[in-house]
Order: sequence, then structure tokens, then C-alpha cells
Amino acid sequence: LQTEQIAARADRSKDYSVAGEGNFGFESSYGGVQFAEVAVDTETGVIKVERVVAVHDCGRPINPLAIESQINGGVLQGISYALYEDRVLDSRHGRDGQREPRAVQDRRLARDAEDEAIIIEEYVGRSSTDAGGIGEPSTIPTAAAVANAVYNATGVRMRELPMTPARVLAALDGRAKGGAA
Amino acid sequence: VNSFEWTEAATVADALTQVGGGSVVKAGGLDLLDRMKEGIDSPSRLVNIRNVRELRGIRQERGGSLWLGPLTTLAELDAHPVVRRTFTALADAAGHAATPQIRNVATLGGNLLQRPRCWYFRSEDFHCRKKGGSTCYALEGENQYHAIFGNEVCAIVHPSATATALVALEARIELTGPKEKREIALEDFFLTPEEDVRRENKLGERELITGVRLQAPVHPVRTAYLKQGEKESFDWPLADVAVALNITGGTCRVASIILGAAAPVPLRAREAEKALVGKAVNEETARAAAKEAVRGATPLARNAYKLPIFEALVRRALLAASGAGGGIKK
Repeated sequence: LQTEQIAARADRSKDYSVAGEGNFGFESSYGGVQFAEVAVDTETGVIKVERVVAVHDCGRPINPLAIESQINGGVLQGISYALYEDRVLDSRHGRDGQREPRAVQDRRLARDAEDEAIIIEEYVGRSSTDAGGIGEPSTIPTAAAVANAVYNATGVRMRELPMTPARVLAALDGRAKGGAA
Repeated sequence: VNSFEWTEAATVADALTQVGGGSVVKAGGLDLLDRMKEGIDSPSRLVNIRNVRELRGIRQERGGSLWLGPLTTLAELDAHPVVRRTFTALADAAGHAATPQIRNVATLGGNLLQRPRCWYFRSEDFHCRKKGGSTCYALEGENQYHAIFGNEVCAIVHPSATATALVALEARIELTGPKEKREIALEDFFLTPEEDVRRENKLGERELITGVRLQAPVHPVRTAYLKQGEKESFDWPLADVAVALNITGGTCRVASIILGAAAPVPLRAREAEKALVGKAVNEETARAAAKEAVRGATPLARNAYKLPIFEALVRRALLAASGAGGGIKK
């Protein structure tokens, strides 16, 4: 990485002032694609995410290790909300105003899954350094990728998160009874 | 957490003079401290028995039985060569509970005496039957992790995985009080809500668990334990199953099939056992026995999904124990 690649210079201001002269508007259309490979136990309804491939554009990857770690973390959180995270409120006592609505269960987090991060150097998001952002993008596609993989494996569409064994079994049961996928 | 006094016990005799009243025994302290922080227990004194040497270890006794000290950690049970070889179901039950950090501290005695995980019981906002109230909030509430058998009065499931395995292995438990020592079958140690909704077992207020005993199997026994949680680790089971089989000449002579996380006590699946005895254990007979294991269940509004899970686990555990395949994934 050369110093001039990440140095802000007056003559480059037009590159990163895309929204107009003197206006530091961001071009923020960073792309990301994820692929998930899952195993679905059709007897117990348990989904195991075997592998995720995450392809992300984040502008100039100044610190690739930190970016990959960020993507790994994002994918893990995505798997967590795909499969586990929930706030269960007692439907009677959480709603009647008599007591503080209270989650009876805190969220569960995924432990690990094999995942592979591929970083694309696509310099559309211009900043003074050509670096973009990778804070949130890697969390966005994961649950959808997992749900699509479940559909690919079983032929049933999961319409609700988290995809718990109870919901997977109900969906599979619906398919067995000739319900709509 | 309330203020409390802390005392050390050096021996069982010493501990016995200190327990009772507002004093409670602390071994690993994992569940007890949780309950104190959750505001559902507020003992005036903790009697630390963690350094009582006579309650530690695993010993082979004359006559071939195996004595498990109640301070044996789950990690030690998992790693012990005799437990792993002869009583595989117990090693797997201990080895798949919680996390490595917890297994290094949590004791066998504490695991058997854990209070239920029911979130209504664990929340100080709900004065449920177990706490002296008049309602089981789970019956009409959020009951996705609750009992599918024996759930009319109180729908907890027994939280101990080692109990599931030990009951299948027909373990006995040794209880010592100030005056006498008694030993009963572990299966008889646990109380149903109908027997006493406030307690889950028969441990007296002034008694200590001073051992768990496994008889040497008269006939070769093959055992297996399978657990299904929502997560692969650091989770209580949605369902767990322990089986112990004697298979002689290709025929199952004795079958012990226990369901955990199904009822307020570790539940013996008698009809499933009957269905298997006298037959070869194969895909077909295991499937038939598994069907029997969930027959008669009374699932609540949100936990009927547990039935197919139990059915799958019973079949897989039977096949794993018989050597026909399957088994727990490490």
C-alpha cells in the first residue's frame, strides 16, 4: 500500500465529493453476496450451517485481516439471528401492562461455522483513502442465504426467524401434508 | 444478591453440623449463585464443601461397583477411562453439558440437584407453584421448552443430563444425614410435582449426597446418550435420551430407556423397553420402540415439536448402543 493511495489531497476532492462540489456526500452502494451450505436434519428440524462464503466490496482494503475478522463476525451474527436469537415475551403478562414486559429468554449466539471471506477491491465508494465501509454489510445477507439453502435442501420456505427446530418441523410437516412450499 | 455468611467445611461430619435452617451447601456453586443473583434464593449462610476430600474421586469398590464422589466434576466424569468404557452414556452426558469452563467446576452432586430451568421459575416476577404460588404460568404461557409428559401440575423438565444417564444405568444414590446414611435408587430419588411441587428430590434439609454408585453390570451392557439442543454447545437439551441394553445372542435381553427434558423427572419409557426386549435391535425394532417412547405424551401448545425429536433420538440411541451405527457427534 502506497502512502499516496490513502492520503487526502486537494486534487482528489472531486473523487470523493460525488454528491456535488464541496459536499462530502458518500457513494455508498457497496455490494455483497453470500452463499450458505447447510445440513437439515429432517427428523429433528435442526439446521447446521456447514459453510458460508461471503464476498464483499469495501473499497480499498487497508487492513485485510481486520476486514476479514469483521466479515467473520458479521456472518456469525447473521447465523445467530437466522437460527437462534429471539426475545420471548410472555404473551399475557408481557402485554397487560401490569408488569414490565420482560424477555423470558435472552438471545443465544452461534458458536462457529466455517466461513470464507472474499474481499473485492471495487473503488466506487470514494473517500480520501478510497476505503469504504464493512461494518454492517456482512450481517445483512447471511440469514437469507441460510434460508435459501434450507429451501434448496428441503423444498420448504422458511418465513420466520429464527429458524428453530419447531418451525422447521412445522414447515416440513406442512410440505408432507401437501401444503404450499 | 443478599448478604450472607460463608463457612468452610473440612469433612462430611463438619458439613453436617452446619447445614439446615437458612444454611445451604455450596459445591461448584454454579446454579446456586445464579439463583441468588436471580433473586429466587437468599440463603443466610453458604457452607462450602468444595474442599471436603472424602467426597472427591471415582473408586472401584469390592464387588466391582463404581463409587462416584459427588464432587467429581463433569469434566472428570467425561475423561475417566472406566466411566467412558463401561458407562459411556454417563461420560457423554457429562461431556456434552454446558461448556468446558463450566464442566471443569460443576460437580456431579450439583448437577443432580440443579433447580429447573423453567423461565417462569427463574424469573422473580412470577410467583409460580414451585415458589408457593397457585399457578403454573407455563401451562398457558411460553411452554416451548417444557414437559411433554407429567405436566399437569407443573411443567418443568428435569435439568440434569447426568441424571438421565445415571437412571438408565440404574445408579443408586447415597444420602448422609446427621444420624444415618441411606442409599436409594436414583430413579426413586426424584419427586414428581404431584408428590411435592416445591422440591425436585428427596434430599433432606440436613442431608448431603455422599456418593453415587454404579453396580458392575451383571451382563455386558451397551449404553448410549444423545442430546439435541438448539445449539451444538452451551445449551440445555430440547431432548436427551440415555439407553442401556444387554444384547445376548443377537437378542435384547434387558433394555433401559430414559428420556430427559421430557418430564419433571428423568422418565423411563417403559412401553419402549417392553417393545424391544426379546427382539434383535435393528432399524425396524428401534423405530417401533421409539414410537412407543412418545406414545401417551401430553404436549402443551408450543412443544409438540419435541415428539419427533424424541422419537429420532430414541431410535438413534438404540442403534448407537447396539453398535448398528449412529452415536453422538463430538
